[in-house]
Amino acid sequence: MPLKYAFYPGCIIPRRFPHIEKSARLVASHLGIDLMEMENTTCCPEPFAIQSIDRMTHLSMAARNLCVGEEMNSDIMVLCNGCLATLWHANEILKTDYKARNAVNRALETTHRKFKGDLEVTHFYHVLADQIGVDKIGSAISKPLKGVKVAIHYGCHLLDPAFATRHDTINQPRGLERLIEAIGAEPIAYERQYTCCGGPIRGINDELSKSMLVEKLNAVKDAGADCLTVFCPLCYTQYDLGQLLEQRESRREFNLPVMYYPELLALALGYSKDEIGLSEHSITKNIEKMVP
Amino acid sequence: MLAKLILTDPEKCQGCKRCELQCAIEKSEGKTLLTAIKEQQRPRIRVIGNTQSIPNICRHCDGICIANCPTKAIQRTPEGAVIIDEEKCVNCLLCLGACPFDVPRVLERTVMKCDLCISKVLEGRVPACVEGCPVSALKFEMRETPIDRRLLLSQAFALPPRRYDLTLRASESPKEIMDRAKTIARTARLLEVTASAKRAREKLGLAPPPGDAVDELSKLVAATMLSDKMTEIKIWTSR
Repeated sequence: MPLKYAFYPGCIIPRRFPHIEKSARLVASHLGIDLMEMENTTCCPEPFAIQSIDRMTHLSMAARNLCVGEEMNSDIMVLCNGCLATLWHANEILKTDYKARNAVNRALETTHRKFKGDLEVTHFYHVLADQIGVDKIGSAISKPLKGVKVAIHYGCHLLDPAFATRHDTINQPRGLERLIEAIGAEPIAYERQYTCCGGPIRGINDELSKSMLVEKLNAVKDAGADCLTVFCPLCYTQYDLGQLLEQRESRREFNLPVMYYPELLALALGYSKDEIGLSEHSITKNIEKMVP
Repeated sequence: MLAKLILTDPEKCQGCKRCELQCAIEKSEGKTLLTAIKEQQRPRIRVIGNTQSIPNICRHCDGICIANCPTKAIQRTPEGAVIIDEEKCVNCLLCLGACPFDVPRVLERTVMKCDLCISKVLEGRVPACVEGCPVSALKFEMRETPIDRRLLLSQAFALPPRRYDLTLRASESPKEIMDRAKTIARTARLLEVTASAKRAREKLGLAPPPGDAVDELSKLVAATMLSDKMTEIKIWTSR
């Protein structure tokens, strides 16, 4: 049975990083995942701002997006860790807490929608690791990325809470490492691998955000990585754009390419660098090394 | 007539509720914390608000509580304070309905409200809540009394606009609520497609992303703002 998902790309990816969306779509169609477009969605909403003021409003906004998926009779697949945190969490609350569900449904009546609770929210990472599996990915690739050393940054919302990741433990996740091995590259460990990238506090405390970024980039460079792979557009923004800004400001050269995992996978599947828009990256200096 | 009144400054208020404590102590028999707890005294001043602390206390304005009281239990003293005569009060609660600031509180057989600590003031001191406020969010200052309540209402909650302020204000009409819901919904809409992203989408052969649903979302936000707030929502279940 072919895999079929309502495709929720979120707000950053289609509107800031279309090359990420393109690579995800290419990989999905290559591996036989059917993606259906969701109309009338909004921001998921992002996991902190509205929730910290009023959880009811936050929940009903998330529930509205879930309802769009329910009306399509399909599970939702997201590309962003933040979307996973919001939608998955809201889905779990509304499925189990009948008081919250009743209150949210009363509010949803004004928009003629109703939350029924018959879908799952899943991340592209889970689809690749669990549904497709590393074996199928390994047999599908045509141009393995031989000898490329890849440092892995999962992103906080893919690890925490541990039960959201479903099969990995938070202390030593192996899923993304196996996916990297499947495309022929070599995953490498580095210091402070599971700490935050500092992206969410950019704009609130820029100095702290920068120091967190520099700490991680130094650790990745020390470990001798050729690139850093992420599965979250906010981490991508922080590492890619943040790195460029940091290099301009402090004249320190990192030149560490940051790759969204499906981009690496698309390269290994034989797509060219122009097809997935590698030139759209902010850090492009050492990026040719990734192209097999 | 000039008189000294308690004026509040919500921007300074930190929400410590020390004024509430001092009020309850002042109104207790023994005027200590222990007696206040023993008598279960309730404060006349309340710190309200969801995102911003607002000290809410009787303004001693030209309120219609005086006119509304059928037994004339509510009177204005020569010092400008509006007080309740507990002997005359029959607990009909008409003053509760009349007060635009939601100040009078129901006790078992009577209604209570701030009496401007009249006995303290006559001794030449300031009211207990003003004395207790550590950040001078409460002030005891001379004003022309009685103050026009309509003027007060327009300024009552005149706080700086906040980006995500979901607190309902006493003076808000349905239209104002809808306007604010739209502001909140706009913050949660999808980002604009930048010109460079648009070019990149065309280059990569991607269709333009679907539009968002701000109108539907603002309706939803307004509905949640008007609904009863859930006090408890289950958070992350433990690992």
